[in-house]
Amino acid sequence: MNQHTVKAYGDELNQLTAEVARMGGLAEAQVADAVDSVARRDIALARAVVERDGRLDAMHRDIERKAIRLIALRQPVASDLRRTLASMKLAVDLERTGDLAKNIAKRGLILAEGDPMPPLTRSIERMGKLVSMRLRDVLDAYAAAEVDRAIAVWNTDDEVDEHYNALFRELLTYMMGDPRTITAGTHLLFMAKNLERIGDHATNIAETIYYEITGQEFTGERPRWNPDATADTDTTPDPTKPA
Amino acid sequence: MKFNLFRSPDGVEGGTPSDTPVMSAPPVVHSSGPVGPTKIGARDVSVFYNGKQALYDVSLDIPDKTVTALIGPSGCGKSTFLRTMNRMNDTIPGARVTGRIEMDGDDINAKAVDPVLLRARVGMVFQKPNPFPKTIYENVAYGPRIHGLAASKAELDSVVEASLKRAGLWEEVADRLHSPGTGLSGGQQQRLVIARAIAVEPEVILMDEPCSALDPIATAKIEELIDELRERYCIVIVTHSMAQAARVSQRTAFFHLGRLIETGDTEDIFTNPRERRTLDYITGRFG
Repeated sequence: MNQHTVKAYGDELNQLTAEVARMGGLAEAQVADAVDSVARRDIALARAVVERDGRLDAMHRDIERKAIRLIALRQPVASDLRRTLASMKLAVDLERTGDLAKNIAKRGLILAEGDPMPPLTRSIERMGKLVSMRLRDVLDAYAAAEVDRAIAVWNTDDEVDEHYNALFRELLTYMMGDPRTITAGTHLLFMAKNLERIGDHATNIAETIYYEITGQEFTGERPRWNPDATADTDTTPDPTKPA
Repeated sequence: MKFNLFRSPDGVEGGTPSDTPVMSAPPVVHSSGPVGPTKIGARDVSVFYNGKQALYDVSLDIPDKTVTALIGPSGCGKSTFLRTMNRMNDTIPGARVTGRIEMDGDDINAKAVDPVLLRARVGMVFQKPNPFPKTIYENVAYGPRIHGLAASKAELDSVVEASLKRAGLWEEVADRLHSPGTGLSGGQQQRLVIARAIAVEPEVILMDEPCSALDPIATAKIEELIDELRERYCIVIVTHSMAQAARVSQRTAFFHLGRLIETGDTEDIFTNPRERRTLDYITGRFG
């Protein structure tokens, strides 16, 4: 596409996009490391994840500041406006993703104090891999400005939901079988919920990319795994439901 | 990760730019939202100055009770097109207009149409305020008087007052109606000229960069006035300020090299233009 007549304007827009991509890279690493720290009971890694979260917050503020400055000084329109707004929206999703990763790492620290529960942490690891992959795909789609790739991520959100619901049932079975696992089981359940929410943020990001590039609102029906009576579709797990 | 820092430009399908192949491609017309019925309809309008073509086959519907902005780089034909709507090109030697321009369905270039009467129905406001070297009162009273719109002095007084009020100038000049119009500030003069235009009860007001000689406050007052006048008139404004087009108009038409490239709701044009050249122009990527 043609360059802006005022080159500094184009540079500022490119800088904004590059910073969001960088922030995305960090958020991606946070999620992967958080899940890793749980799977490997790696206390040092979990602490590192918790510490690094401040960097995501700082990047979020920085992107927001730059976007506001650009709106005030350059009055972007059309694709430039959408690009600026998309950077702000993505920064919010990524900042939340970071918070959720931090929360997973914190729970990992608590779990590391108790006995290992290999089958359960392996389920979390599998779900974590899936969510990390979606996050990576959608951020690649952003960096390359590829709508099709973003939509592909959007279309697979139900996989994460399925994973979550399977994990929910698995954990409930464990906790009912042995009440001593309830504390650990609850932490794992919240981890699963956090991963499911990270998946939702990836979906949001896909929608934002679609809008940024096409100028159209994404109106597709959100794919939903059809939950039966056992599934929890609320944001908070409902332990009263039968497994 | 591959960084595509120059994001894809606008396009309906996955960011594919729509580089309409030059010359004869028809303009992109967005599906329009609720606007008034068509007041002026231009069909295949071309304008030549001494045989040199300045405007190429422009077809555009101008809705009533709506502000339509004509935008585009210098020399794109937007002012030329504006002038076809009240036959101002008739006054330019060597100018020739082809195609058809209808107002309420009637051909305004028909032999039976008196251009002077047409220009009373289609008023015009120029870039530089051009009050007559007469008093404020006489500036506004001139049109109604020569067109015989007021039967008595009292009636003329009320036309002058109503016009100045509608132009948002009455309160500032009520106590000095008989001082010269040229003694007003630039912004006041421009509102005086608008009062003069609306004194003859026009149906359409054409504005050719009405604010480019004004400061931001005077500009804001004119823009506010345009927004109020829209309830009664069909307004067409040529402007170099994209921000102004975005602020005051409901419909926007983008011209380039004598051709109409894209037209549609202002909101659509400024958030999601379909044409590459429109995008380049409004985002400041031209040339």
